[in-house]
Amino acid sequence: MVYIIDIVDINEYIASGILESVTLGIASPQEAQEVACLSQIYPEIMAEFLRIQKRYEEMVVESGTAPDPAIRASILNKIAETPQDKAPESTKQEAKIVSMKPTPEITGVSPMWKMMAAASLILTIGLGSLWFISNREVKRLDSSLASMEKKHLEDSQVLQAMVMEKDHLQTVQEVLTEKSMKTVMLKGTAMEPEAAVKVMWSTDMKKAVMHAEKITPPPANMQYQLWVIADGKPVSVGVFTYDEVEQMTEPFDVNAQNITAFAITLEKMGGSPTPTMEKMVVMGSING
Amino acid sequence: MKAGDQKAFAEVYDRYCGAINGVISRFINDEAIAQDVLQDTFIKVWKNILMYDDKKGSFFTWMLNIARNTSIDALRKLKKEGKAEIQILETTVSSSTTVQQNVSTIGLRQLVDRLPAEQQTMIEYLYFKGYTQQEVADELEIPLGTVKTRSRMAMAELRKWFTLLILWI
Repeated sequence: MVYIIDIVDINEYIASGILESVTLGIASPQEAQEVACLSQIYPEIMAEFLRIQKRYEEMVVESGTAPDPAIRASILNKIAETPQDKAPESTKQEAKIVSMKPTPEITGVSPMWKMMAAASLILTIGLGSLWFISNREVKRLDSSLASMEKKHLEDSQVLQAMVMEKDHLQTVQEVLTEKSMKTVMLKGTAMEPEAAVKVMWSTDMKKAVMHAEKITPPPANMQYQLWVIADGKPVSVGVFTYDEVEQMTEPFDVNAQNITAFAITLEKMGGSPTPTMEKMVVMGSING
Repeated sequence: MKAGDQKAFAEVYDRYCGAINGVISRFINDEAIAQDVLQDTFIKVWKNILMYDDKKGSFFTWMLNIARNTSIDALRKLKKEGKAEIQILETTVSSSTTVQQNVSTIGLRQLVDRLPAEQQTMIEYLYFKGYTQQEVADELEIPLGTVKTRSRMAMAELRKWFTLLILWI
Protein backbone atom coordinates (compact mmCIF):
# COMPACT_ATOMS: atom_id res chain seq x y z
CA MET A 1 0.00 0.00 0.00
CA VAL A 2 1.57 3.28 -1.11
CA TYR A 3 0.75 6.13 1.14
CA ILE A 4 2.09 9.62 0.46
CA ILE A 5 1.34 12.82 2.24
CA ASP A 6 2.94 16.17 1.83
CA ILE A 7 5.31 17.45 4.47
CA VAL A 8 3.16 20.50 5.24
CA ASP A 9 0.48 18.28 6.72
CA ILE A 10 2.94 16.60 9.05
CA ASN A 11 4.30 19.95 10.13
CA GLU A 12 0.80 21.24 10.70
CA TYR A 13 -0.02 18.20 12.76
CA ILE A 14 3.11 18.70 14.85
CA ALA A 15 2.39 22.41 15.29
CA SER A 16 -1.18 21.76 16.39
CA GLY A 17 -0.07 21.10 19.98
CA ILE A 18 -1.57 17.61 20.11
CA LEU A 19 1.80 16.01 20.89
CA GLU A 20 2.23 18.25 23.93
CA SER A 21 -1.36 17.54 25.03
CA VAL A 22 -0.72 13.81 24.96
CA THR A 23 2.65 14.21 26.70
CA LEU A 24 1.11 16.16 29.56
CA GLY A 25 -1.70 13.62 29.78
CA ILE A 26 -4.46 16.14 29.14
CA ALA A 27 -5.58 14.81 25.77
CA SER A 28 -8.58 12.53 25.36
CA PRO A 29 -7.91 8.76 25.01
CA GLN A 30 -8.84 9.06 21.30
CA GLU A 31 -6.19 11.72 20.78
CA ALA A 32 -3.58 9.59 22.57
CA GLN A 33 -4.49 6.64 20.33
CA GLU A 34 -4.30 8.82 17.23
CA VAL A 35 -0.82 10.04 18.13
CA ALA A 36 0.30 6.46 18.85
CA CYS A 37 -0.92 5.39 15.39
CA LEU A 38 0.47 8.32 13.44
CA SER A 39 3.84 8.22 15.16
CA GLN A 40 4.15 4.59 14.05
CA ILE A 41 3.54 5.65 10.46
CA TYR A 42 5.49 8.91 10.32
CA PRO A 43 9.03 9.00 11.72
CA GLU A 44 8.90 12.82 11.83
CA ILE A 45 5.94 12.71 14.19
CA MET A 46 7.61 10.04 16.29
CA ALA A 47 10.84 12.05 16.52
CA GLU A 48 9.01 15.19 17.58
CA PHE A 49 6.85 13.28 20.05
CA LEU A 50 9.96 11.82 21.70
CA ARG A 51 11.70 15.19 21.70
CA ILE A 52 8.79 16.84 23.51
CA GLN A 53 8.65 14.09 26.09
CA LYS A 54 12.36 14.36 26.64
CA ARG A 55 12.07 18.11 27.18
CA TYR A 56 9.15 17.63 29.57
CA GLU A 57 11.14 15.02 31.47
CA GLU A 58 14.16 17.31 31.67
CA MET A 59 11.97 20.07 33.03
CA VAL A 60 10.60 17.76 35.70
CA VAL A 61 14.05 16.42 36.63
CA GLU A 62 15.38 19.96 37.04
CA SER A 63 12.64 20.81 39.51
CA GLY A 64 12.79 17.45 41.30
CA THR A 65 13.34 17.04 45.04
CA ALA A 66 14.57 13.89 46.72
CA PRO A 67 11.95 12.19 48.91
CA ASP A 68 12.50 11.10 52.48
CA PRO A 69 15.03 8.21 52.26
CA ALA A 70 12.86 6.15 54.62
CA ILE A 71 10.15 5.75 51.98
CA ARG A 72 12.44 3.70 49.75
CA ALA A 73 12.46 0.65 52.01
CA SER A 74 8.73 0.90 52.59
CA ILE A 75 7.98 0.97 48.86
CA LEU A 76 10.34 -1.88 48.07
CA ASN A 77 8.68 -3.97 50.79
CA LYS A 78 5.24 -3.18 49.42
CA ILE A 79 6.06 -4.17 45.86
CA ALA A 80 7.62 -7.43 47.04
CA GLU A 81 4.15 -8.52 48.13
CA THR A 82 2.24 -6.87 45.26
CA PRO A 83 1.62 -9.05 42.18
CA GLN A 84 1.96 -7.42 38.79
CA ASP A 85 -1.15 -7.12 36.60
CA LYS A 86 -1.33 -9.10 33.38
CA ALA A 87 -0.91 -7.21 30.13
CA PRO A 88 -4.19 -6.24 28.50
CA GLU A 89 -5.22 -8.11 25.33
CA SER A 90 -4.77 -5.08 23.12
CA THR A 91 -1.12 -4.73 24.05
CA LYS A 92 -0.41 -8.30 23.03
CA GLN A 93 -2.21 -7.72 19.77
CA GLU A 94 -0.19 -4.62 19.00
CA ALA A 95 3.00 -6.44 19.87
CA LYS A 96 2.20 -8.81 17.01
CA ILE A 97 1.73 -5.92 14.57
CA VAL A 98 5.27 -4.79 15.10
CA SER A 99 6.54 -8.06 13.74
CA MET A 100 4.30 -8.02 10.67
CA LYS A 101 7.26 -8.43 8.39
CA PRO A 102 7.32 -11.98 7.03
CA THR A 103 9.78 -13.31 9.59
CA PRO A 104 9.99 -16.96 10.55
CA GLU A 105 8.57 -15.97 13.90
CA ILE A 106 5.19 -15.26 12.37
CA THR A 107 4.82 -18.51 10.43
CA GLY A 108 3.68 -20.37 13.46
CA VAL A 109 0.95 -17.83 14.19
CA SER A 110 -2.62 -18.90 13.52
CA PRO A 111 -4.45 -17.40 10.52
CA MET A 112 -6.84 -15.72 12.94
CA TRP A 113 -3.97 -13.73 14.45
CA LYS A 114 -2.72 -12.80 11.02
CA MET A 115 -6.14 -11.56 10.05
CA MET A 116 -6.49 -9.55 13.22
CA ALA A 117 -3.02 -8.09 12.82
CA ALA A 118 -3.77 -7.18 9.22
CA ALA A 119 -7.08 -5.66 10.28
CA SER A 120 -5.31 -3.58 12.92
CA LEU A 121 -2.76 -2.37 10.42
CA ILE A 122 -5.47 -1.39 7.96
CA LEU A 123 -7.33 0.37 10.75
CA THR A 124 -4.18 2.22 11.75
CA ILE A 125 -3.49 3.37 8.22
CA GLY A 126 -7.17 4.13 7.77
CA LEU A 127 -7.15 6.41 10.79
CA GLY A 128 -4.14 8.23 9.44
CA SER A 129 -5.69 8.65 6.00
CA LEU A 130 -8.92 9.82 7.55
CA TRP A 131 -7.09 12.50 9.45
CA PHE A 132 -5.33 13.82 6.39
CA ILE A 133 -8.43 13.60 4.19
CA SER A 134 -10.52 15.42 6.77
CA ASN A 135 -7.76 17.96 7.23
CA ARG A 136 -7.77 18.64 3.48
CA GLU A 137 -11.54 18.94 3.42
CA VAL A 138 -11.41 21.41 6.31
CA LYS A 139 -8.86 23.45 4.38
CA ARG A 140 -11.03 23.43 1.25
CA LEU A 141 -14.10 24.55 3.22
CA ASP A 142 -12.02 27.18 4.98
CA SER A 143 -10.90 28.70 1.72
CA SER A 144 -14.39 28.75 0.20
CA LEU A 145 -15.74 30.23 3.40
CA ALA A 146 -13.00 32.84 3.31
CA SER A 147 -13.88 33.82 -0.28
CA MET A 148 -17.57 34.05 0.63
CA GLU A 149 -16.70 36.19 3.62
CA LYS A 150 -14.57 38.41 1.43
CA LYS A 151 -17.42 38.87 -1.06
CA HIS A 152 -19.82 39.58 1.78
CA LEU A 153 -17.43 42.13 3.21
CA GLU A 154 -17.13 43.87 -0.15
CA ASP A 155 -20.91 43.96 -0.55
CA SER A 156 -21.38 45.37 2.92
CA GLN A 157 -18.67 47.96 2.28
CA VAL A 158 -20.49 49.11 -0.86
CA LEU A 159 -23.73 49.27 1.06
CA GLN A 160 -22.08 51.18 3.87
CA ALA A 161 -20.61 53.65 1.39
CA MET A 162 -24.05 54.17 -0.15
CA VAL A 163 -25.64 54.77 3.24
CA MET A 164 -22.91 57.27 4.13
CA GLU A 165 -23.38 59.07 0.82
CA LYS A 166 -27.12 59.30 1.40
CA ASP A 167 -26.61 60.72 4.93
CA HIS A 168 -24.11 63.19 3.58
CA LEU A 169 -26.45 64.43 0.84
CA GLN A 170 -29.29 64.71 3.33
CA THR A 171 -27.38 66.95 5.71
CA VAL A 172 -26.05 69.03 2.84
CA GLN A 173 -29.59 69.42 1.54
CA GLU A 174 -30.83 70.59 4.94
CA VAL A 175 -28.41 73.52 4.79
CA LEU A 176 -29.05 74.25 1.12
CA THR A 177 -32.85 74.35 1.40
CA GLU A 178 -32.87 76.53 4.49
CA LYS A 179 -34.45 79.89 3.62
CA SER A 180 -31.74 82.14 5.11
CA MET A 181 -29.24 80.43 2.82
CA LYS A 182 -26.66 82.66 1.15
CA THR A 183 -24.26 81.77 -1.59
CA VAL A 184 -20.83 83.35 -1.44
CA MET A 185 -18.51 82.93 -4.41
CA LEU A 186 -14.84 82.89 -3.45
CA LYS A 187 -12.69 83.93 -6.39
CA GLY A 188 -9.08 83.07 -7.14
CA THR A 189 -6.31 85.40 -5.96
CA ALA A 190 -3.14 86.22 -7.85
CA MET A 191 -1.76 82.91 -6.61
CA GLU A 192 -4.39 80.92 -8.52
CA PRO A 193 -6.59 83.27 -10.61
CA GLU A 194 -8.70 80.48 -12.09
CA ALA A 195 -9.77 79.02 -8.75
CA ALA A 196 -13.42 79.31 -7.64
CA VAL A 197 -15.10 77.96 -4.52
CA LYS A 198 -18.78 78.26 -3.67
CA VAL A 199 -19.74 78.58 0.02
CA MET A 200 -23.41 78.05 0.84
CA TRP A 201 -24.11 79.47 4.23
CA SER A 202 -27.27 79.45 6.33
CA THR A 203 -27.12 82.36 8.75
CA ASP A 204 -30.01 81.02 10.84
CA MET A 205 -28.54 77.51 11.24
CA LYS A 206 -24.99 78.94 11.55
CA LYS A 207 -23.85 76.22 9.21
CA ALA A 208 -22.31 76.17 5.77
CA VAL A 209 -21.11 73.75 3.10
CA MET A 210 -18.71 74.46 0.28
CA HIS A 211 -17.40 72.95 -2.88
CA ALA A 212 -14.80 74.00 -5.40
CA GLU A 213 -15.75 74.65 -8.96
CA LYS A 214 -12.07 74.77 -9.72
CA ILE A 215 -9.08 74.45 -7.44
CA THR A 216 -5.58 72.96 -7.65
CA PRO A 217 -4.79 70.17 -5.15
CA PRO A 218 -2.60 71.44 -2.28
CA PRO A 219 1.09 70.44 -2.20
CA ALA A 220 2.04 67.49 -0.01
CA ASN A 221 1.86 68.17 3.75
CA MET A 222 -0.50 71.12 3.22
CA GLN A 223 -4.22 71.53 3.67
CA TYR A 224 -6.85 74.13 2.92
CA GLN A 225 -7.92 76.27 5.83
CA LEU A 226 -11.16 78.24 5.65
CA TRP A 227 -11.34 81.59 7.39
CA VAL A 228 -14.09 84.13 7.99
CA ILE A 229 -13.39 87.81 8.50
CA ALA A 230 -15.52 88.66 11.54
CA ASP A 231 -15.36 92.10 13.12
CA GLY A 232 -12.43 92.74 10.83
CA LYS A 233 -10.35 89.83 12.12
CA PRO A 234 -9.68 86.42 10.55
CA VAL A 235 -11.27 83.52 12.45
CA SER A 236 -10.53 79.93 11.49
CA VAL A 237 -13.51 77.79 10.50
CA GLY A 238 -11.61 74.58 9.91
CA VAL A 239 -9.23 72.64 7.71
CA PHE A 240 -10.31 70.61 4.69
CA THR A 241 -8.76 68.07 2.38
CA TYR A 242 -8.74 68.43 -1.40
CA ASP A 243 -11.33 65.66 -1.76
CA GLU A 244 -13.75 67.35 0.62
CA VAL A 245 -13.49 70.72 -1.10
CA GLU A 246 -13.44 69.28 -4.59
CA GLN A 247 -16.68 67.36 -4.03
CA MET A 248 -18.86 68.76 -1.23
CA THR A 249 -17.89 69.23 2.39
CA GLU A 250 -19.95 68.06 5.31
CA PRO A 251 -21.90 70.96 6.84
CA PHE A 252 -19.61 72.85 9.18
CA ASP A 253 -20.33 75.38 11.94
CA VAL A 254 -19.93 79.08 11.29
CA ASN A 255 -20.40 80.70 14.66
CA ALA A 256 -18.61 84.03 14.31
CA GLN A 257 -20.64 87.29 14.32
CA ASN A 258 -20.54 90.15 11.81
CA ILE A 259 -18.94 88.13 9.04
CA THR A 260 -17.89 90.18 6.08
CA ALA A 261 -15.80 87.73 4.03
CA PHE A 262 -14.64 84.14 3.53
CA ALA A 263 -11.14 83.14 2.46
CA ILE A 264 -9.14 79.94 1.98
CA THR A 265 -5.38 79.75 2.60
CA LEU A 266 -2.91 76.92 2.19
CA GLU A 267 -1.57 75.91 5.60
CA LYS A 268 0.46 73.08 7.08
CA MET A 269 -1.42 69.90 8.05
CA GLY A 270 -3.79 70.58 10.91
CA GLY A 271 -4.01 74.30 10.21
CA SER A 272 -2.44 77.47 11.62
CA PRO A 273 -3.63 79.91 14.31
CA THR A 274 -3.39 82.83 11.90
CA PRO A 275 -3.74 82.83 8.13
CA THR A 276 -0.63 82.97 5.93
CA MET A 277 -1.72 85.84 3.73
CA GLU A 278 0.70 85.15 0.86
CA LYS A 279 -0.80 81.63 0.58
CA MET A 280 -4.38 82.78 0.13
CA VAL A 281 -6.00 80.83 -2.71
CA VAL A 282 -9.51 82.27 -2.91
CA MET A 283 -11.58 84.90 -1.17
CA GLY A 284 -15.04 86.41 -1.41
CA SER A 285 -16.83 89.13 0.53
CA ILE A 286 -20.47 88.88 1.59
CA ASN A 287 -21.62 92.14 0.10
CA GLY A 288 -19.23 92.28 -2.75
CA MET B 1 11.28 -4.85 35.24
CA LYS B 2 8.52 -6.12 32.97
CA ALA B 3 9.68 -9.59 33.99
CA GLY B 4 8.88 -8.79 37.60
CA ASP B 5 12.46 -8.05 38.60
CA GLN B 6 12.44 -6.25 41.93
CA LYS B 7 16.07 -5.26 41.61
CA ALA B 8 15.27 -3.49 38.35
CA PHE B 9 12.42 -1.75 40.12
CA ALA B 10 14.78 -0.49 42.82
CA GLU B 11 16.99 0.98 40.08
CA VAL B 12 14.01 2.69 38.51
CA TYR B 13 13.06 4.07 41.90
CA ASP B 14 16.53 5.42 42.60
CA ARG B 15 16.72 7.06 39.22
CA TYR B 16 13.30 8.69 39.07
CA CYS B 17 12.08 9.20 42.64
CA GLY B 18 13.35 12.78 42.82
CA ALA B 19 11.61 13.90 39.67
CA ILE B 20 8.41 12.09 40.53
CA ASN B 21 8.47 13.49 44.04
CA GLY B 22 8.89 16.93 42.51
CA VAL B 23 5.79 16.50 40.35
CA ILE B 24 3.73 15.30 43.30
CA SER B 25 4.86 18.22 45.47
CA ARG B 26 3.49 20.61 42.87
CA PHE B 27 0.04 19.24 43.54
CA ILE B 28 0.17 18.41 47.23
CA ASN B 29 1.71 20.61 49.90
CA ASP B 30 1.17 18.25 52.82
CA GLU B 31 4.32 16.20 53.27
CA ALA B 32 2.70 13.10 54.80
CA ILE B 33 0.08 12.90 52.07
CA ALA B 34 2.71 13.54 49.40
CA GLN B 35 4.67 10.56 50.75
CA ASP B 36 1.59 8.34 50.51
CA VAL B 37 1.04 9.51 46.95
CA LEU B 38 4.68 8.79 46.08
CA GLN B 39 4.29 5.28 47.45
CA ASP B 40 0.98 4.73 45.61
CA THR B 41 2.55 6.01 42.41
CA PHE B 42 5.42 3.54 42.50
CA ILE B 43 3.12 0.66 43.46
CA LYS B 44 0.93 1.52 40.45
CA VAL B 45 4.01 1.63 38.24
CA TRP B 46 5.00 -1.82 39.50
CA LYS B 47 1.50 -3.31 39.19
CA ASN B 48 0.75 -1.86 35.78
CA ILE B 49 4.14 -2.18 34.16
CA LEU B 50 2.82 -4.65 31.57
CA MET B 51 0.21 -2.11 30.51
CA TYR B 52 2.97 0.28 29.55
CA ASP B 53 3.02 0.58 25.77
CA ASP B 54 6.15 2.18 24.36
CA LYS B 55 4.21 3.29 21.28
CA LYS B 56 2.20 5.67 23.42
CA GLY B 57 5.22 7.47 24.82
CA SER B 58 8.35 7.13 26.90
CA PHE B 59 8.45 5.16 30.13
CA PHE B 60 9.37 8.22 32.16
CA THR B 61 6.49 10.29 30.78
CA TRP B 62 4.18 7.36 31.48
CA MET B 63 5.32 7.35 35.11
CA LEU B 64 4.96 11.13 35.34
CA ASN B 65 1.37 10.85 34.19
CA ILE B 66 0.69 8.17 36.80
CA ALA B 67 2.17 10.50 39.44
CA ARG B 68 -0.05 13.33 38.28
CA ASN B 69 -3.17 11.18 38.19
CA THR B 70 -2.47 9.71 41.60
CA SER B 71 -1.92 13.21 43.03
CA ILE B 72 -5.18 14.43 41.56
CA ASP B 73 -7.07 11.41 42.86
CA ALA B 74 -5.67 12.07 46.33
CA LEU B 75 -6.68 15.74 46.10
CA ARG B 76 -10.20 14.83 45.08
CA LYS B 77 -10.49 12.37 47.94
CA LEU B 78 -9.31 15.03 50.40
CA LYS B 79 -11.80 17.49 49.00
CA LYS B 80 -14.59 14.96 49.46
CA GLU B 81 -13.53 14.47 53.06
CA GLY B 82 -13.80 18.21 53.52
CA LYS B 83 -10.14 18.86 54.16
CA ALA B 84 -10.27 22.07 52.27
CA GLU B 85 -7.05 23.44 53.74
CA ILE B 86 -5.04 21.22 51.45
CA GLN B 87 -5.35 22.71 48.07
CA ILE B 88 -3.61 22.82 44.80
CA LEU B 89 -0.42 24.75 45.24
CA GLU B 90 -0.33 28.14 43.65
CA THR B 91 3.29 28.50 42.70
CA THR B 92 2.89 31.71 40.78
CA VAL B 93 6.15 33.44 40.13
CA SER B 94 6.43 37.19 39.97
CA SER B 95 7.68 38.53 36.68
CA SER B 96 10.83 40.07 38.21
CA THR B 97 12.14 36.72 39.45
CA THR B 98 11.31 35.09 36.13
CA VAL B 99 13.65 37.44 34.33
CA GLN B 100 16.57 36.60 36.55
CA GLN B 101 15.88 32.89 36.39
CA ASN B 102 18.07 30.59 34.43
CA VAL B 103 16.04 29.72 31.36
CA SER B 104 16.60 26.01 31.83
CA THR B 105 14.86 26.05 35.19
CA ILE B 106 11.65 27.54 33.85
CA GLY B 107 9.02 24.99 34.73
CA LEU B 108 5.67 24.24 33.23
CA ARG B 109 3.89 26.56 35.64
CA GLN B 110 6.01 29.51 34.58
CA LEU B 111 5.48 28.67 30.93
CA VAL B 112 1.74 28.55 31.51
CA ASP B 113 1.89 31.99 33.13
CA ARG B 114 2.83 33.42 29.75
CA LEU B 115 -0.37 32.26 28.07
CA PRO B 116 -3.53 34.32 27.60
CA ALA B 117 -5.91 34.02 30.58
CA GLU B 118 -8.47 31.77 28.89
CA GLN B 119 -5.76 29.34 27.80
CA GLN B 120 -4.23 29.39 31.29
CA THR B 121 -7.63 28.38 32.64
CA MET B 122 -7.70 25.36 30.33
CA ILE B 123 -4.28 24.16 31.52
CA GLU B 124 -5.22 24.89 35.10
CA TYR B 125 -8.27 22.63 34.88
CA LEU B 126 -6.93 19.95 32.55
CA TYR B 127 -3.41 19.59 33.91
CA PHE B 128 -3.28 20.94 37.45
CA LYS B 129 -6.81 19.97 38.50
CA GLY B 130 -6.99 16.86 36.34
CA TYR B 131 -10.44 17.52 34.88
CA THR B 132 -11.45 15.72 31.70
CA GLN B 133 -12.35 17.91 28.72
CA GLN B 134 -16.04 17.18 29.31
CA GLU B 135 -15.79 18.13 33.00
CA VAL B 136 -14.18 21.45 32.08
CA ALA B 137 -16.98 22.13 29.59
CA ASP B 138 -19.59 21.42 32.28
CA GLU B 139 -17.81 23.40 35.00
CA LEU B 140 -17.23 26.51 32.90
CA GLU B 141 -20.47 26.11 30.95
CA ILE B 142 -18.77 26.34 27.58
CA PRO B 143 -19.10 23.94 24.63
CA LEU B 144 -16.82 20.90 24.55
CA GLY B 145 -15.52 22.10 21.17
CA THR B 146 -14.35 25.33 22.79
CA VAL B 147 -12.46 23.40 25.46
CA LYS B 148 -10.73 21.38 22.75
CA THR B 149 -9.89 24.45 20.68
CA ARG B 150 -8.56 26.47 23.62
CA SER B 151 -6.46 23.66 25.02
CA ARG B 152 -4.99 22.97 21.59
CA MET B 153 -4.20 26.66 21.18
CA ALA B 154 -2.59 26.69 24.61
CA MET B 155 -0.50 23.68 23.65
CA ALA B 156 0.48 25.16 20.31
CA GLU B 157 1.57 28.28 22.23
CA LEU B 158 3.45 26.26 24.85
CA ARG B 159 5.04 24.43 21.97
CA LYS B 160 6.77 27.63 20.88
CA TRP B 161 8.25 27.90 24.37
CA PHE B 162 9.31 24.29 24.43
CA THR B 163 11.05 24.88 21.13
CA LEU B 164 12.71 28.07 22.33
CA LEU B 165 13.94 26.37 25.47
CA ILE B 166 15.48 23.59 23.45
CA LEU B 167 17.25 26.15 21.29
CA TRP B 168 18.59 28.06 24.28
CA ILE B 169 19.91 25.14 26.22
